[in-house]
Amino acid sequence: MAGNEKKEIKLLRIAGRLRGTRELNLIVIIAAVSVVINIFQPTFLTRFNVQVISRQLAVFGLLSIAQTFVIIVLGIDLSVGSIVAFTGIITAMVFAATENVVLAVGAALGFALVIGFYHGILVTKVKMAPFVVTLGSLSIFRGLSFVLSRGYPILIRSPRIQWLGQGLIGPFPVPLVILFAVVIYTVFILHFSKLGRYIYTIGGNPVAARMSGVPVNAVIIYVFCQATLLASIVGLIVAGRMAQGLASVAAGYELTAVAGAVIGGTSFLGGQGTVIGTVFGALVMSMIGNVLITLRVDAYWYNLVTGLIIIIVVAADTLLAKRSKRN
Amino acid sequence: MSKKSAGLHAAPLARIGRGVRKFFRLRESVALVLLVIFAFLVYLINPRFLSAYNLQSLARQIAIFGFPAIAATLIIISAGIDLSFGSMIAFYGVIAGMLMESGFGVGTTVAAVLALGMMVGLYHGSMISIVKLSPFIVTLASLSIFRGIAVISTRGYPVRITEEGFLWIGQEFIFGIPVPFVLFILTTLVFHYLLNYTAFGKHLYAIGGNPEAAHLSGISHKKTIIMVYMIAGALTAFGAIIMASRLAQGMPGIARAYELRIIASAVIGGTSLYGGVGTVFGAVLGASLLALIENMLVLSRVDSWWNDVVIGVVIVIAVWVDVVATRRRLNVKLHGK
Repeated sequence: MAGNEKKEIKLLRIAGRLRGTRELNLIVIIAAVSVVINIFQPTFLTRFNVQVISRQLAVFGLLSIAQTFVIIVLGIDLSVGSIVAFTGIITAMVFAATENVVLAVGAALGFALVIGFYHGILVTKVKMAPFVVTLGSLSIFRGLSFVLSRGYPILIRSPRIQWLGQGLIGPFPVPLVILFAVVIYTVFILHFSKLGRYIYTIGGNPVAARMSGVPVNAVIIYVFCQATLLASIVGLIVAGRMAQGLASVAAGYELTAVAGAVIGGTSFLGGQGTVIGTVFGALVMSMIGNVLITLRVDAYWYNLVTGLIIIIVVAADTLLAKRSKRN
Repeated sequence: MSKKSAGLHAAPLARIGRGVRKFFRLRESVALVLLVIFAFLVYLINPRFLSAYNLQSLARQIAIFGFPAIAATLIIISAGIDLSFGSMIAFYGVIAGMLMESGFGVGTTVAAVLALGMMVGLYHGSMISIVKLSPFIVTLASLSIFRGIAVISTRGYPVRITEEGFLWIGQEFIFGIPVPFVLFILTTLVFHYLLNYTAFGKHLYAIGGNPEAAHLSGISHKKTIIMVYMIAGALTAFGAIIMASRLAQGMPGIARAYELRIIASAVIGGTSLYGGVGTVFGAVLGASLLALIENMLVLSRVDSWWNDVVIGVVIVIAVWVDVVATRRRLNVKLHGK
C-alpha cells in the first residue's frame, strides 16, 4: 500500500514537473509546426511519411539518449557515429562468415560493450578527459571500419537482420518499437532507480558524490557502456535498413545526437536532462530534413536550418531562464 | 626544484641527466618524442622523406594544420572549445573566391576575410561570455550554419581563383621555403610572445585555469573571451586563405570533420581540455605530428584507411602519457623531490 502511494506521488510530481517545461513546449511547437506544414502539403502527415520520420527518429533518438546519460555525468561521447558504422561492419562480416544471426548480432553488441568499458576505464582510472578518449575512438573505429571493409559495402543476406531496420510490427516500424523499449528502460533507470539518482548526483557535484559514497567510477563506466551499446543497436538498425555494412555511414551523427540531447534540455553543466525531453529533441533533429523535402526546399539549406534551430532554441532557453530567475 | 648551486660544479653526466629529466617534465615532450620517432620511421621506410620536394609539401601541410591549431590552442586554454574550424575554412575560402570574382583586389579580399573572421569570433565570444551559452553548442551550431552558407551561396560548386597575387600566398617559395610555412613561423613567434609576455596572455591562462580567482583579481571575463575568439577567428580565416590559395579555388565541401583533427593537434601538443594549460610550441608540434602521419602513410604506401586509425591511437597515447606525467610532476612538487 505505502509503496503504491509513494509511486503515485512520484508520478504526480513528475507530471507536475512536466507542466510548462521543455518537454511540453517542444510537443506544442512540434505539433503546431506539423499541422501548419500539413495544411500546405497534405502528404506530410500521411502514414507513410510519419513512418519515414519515425525510422529516423529511432536512430537519432537512441543516440541522443546515449548522449544524454553521458552529458549528465559531465562527459561527452564523440565516438557513437563511428561505433554505428563499426558495429554494422562487424555484423555484416560475422554474418558473411558464419551465416549465424545470433552470432552476428552478439558480436556487434559484444564489441560495443568492450569499447564502452575501455572508454569508462580510461575516463575513471587513467583520468583522461572523455572528449579526448572518445575523439580517439571516433578516429580509430571509423578507420577500422574502412580498413576491414576496404571501403566496400558488405551485403547482409539475412532477412532477420534486415527486419531490424525494415520490418513493421502492426503499423509501427521495428526501429520505433526498439526505441520505445529503450525509452521505457532508460526512463526507469534514470528516474526510478538508485543508479539514476547516482547519475544525477555525480553530474551535480562529482566531489560531493564521491564523498557521500556513490560508486562514481562504476556508474561512469556503466554510462559509457550504455552509450556504445545503444550505438551498436543503431548500427544493427542502420545495417538492417540498408541490408549492408557500410564504413561511411553515420558520419557526424555524434554531433547530431548531442544537438538532440541539448535541444531536449540536457545541460553541459551536468546533472540536468531527461529521457523524454531528449526524445523530443531528437524528433526535432529527425524532422528537419523531412520538412525541407516536403516543402521542396533545396537540400543545400539543410545545414543552415539545422544550425539555426540549435542556436535559437538554446539561446532562447537560456535567456528565458535568466529572465524567470530575475523575476 | 631545489636551488642548490651545484649546477656549475656537478659532473657533466649528472648535468645531462638533470637536463633530460627537466626536458621530460615539459608537457610538449611527448609530442616531440613521438615526432622524432615517426620522422625516423618514415625515413627508414622511404629515404625520399628527406627529399626537398617532400619536405616542402610537409612544411606546407604543417602550416595548413598549424594556423587553426594555434587558434584551437588559445581557445582551449580559455577552457573553451571550437567545433567549427572545418566549416569556417570552407566558408572563408568561398567568400575569398567570390570577392575576387566580383572584382576586388587581393589586398582588399585578404583584409575583408580576416575582418569577417574577427566578426565571427565576436559573435562566438559574445554568445559564450554574454549570453552564457556553452562554447560546444555555439560552435556546433556554427559548424552547421557556416557550412550551410558556403554550400548555399555556391550551390555546391567550387569558386575558381586566378589572381596571381592570391595564389602566391599558398603556392610560392621564399628561398626554397614555402610561403605558408614562413608565414606560419612568423605567426608562431608573434603568438608565443602574445601568450607569454603580454597582459592578454596572462589573463587567458588565468581565466582558463581558475575563472573565479581571475574574476576576483579583476580580470574581465567578457573582454578576454571575446578577444580570444576574435583572434582565433582571424587565425582560422588566414588558414582558410592559404588553403584556398593552395587549391586555387574556394570549395564549399572542403575540410569536412577537420575540427576534430585541429583539436587533436592542440591536445597532442599538451593543451589540456580543462583549460589554463597549453603552449603555441605544443600546437606546432601537434600540427607537425598530424602532417607527418599523413606524409608517412603516403610515403610508405599504406592504405589511406589507416590514417584515421593511427591518428586516433596517437591521440590516446599522447594524452595518456601526458596525464601520467602530470600526476608524477604534481607528486614531485608536493613531496619536494
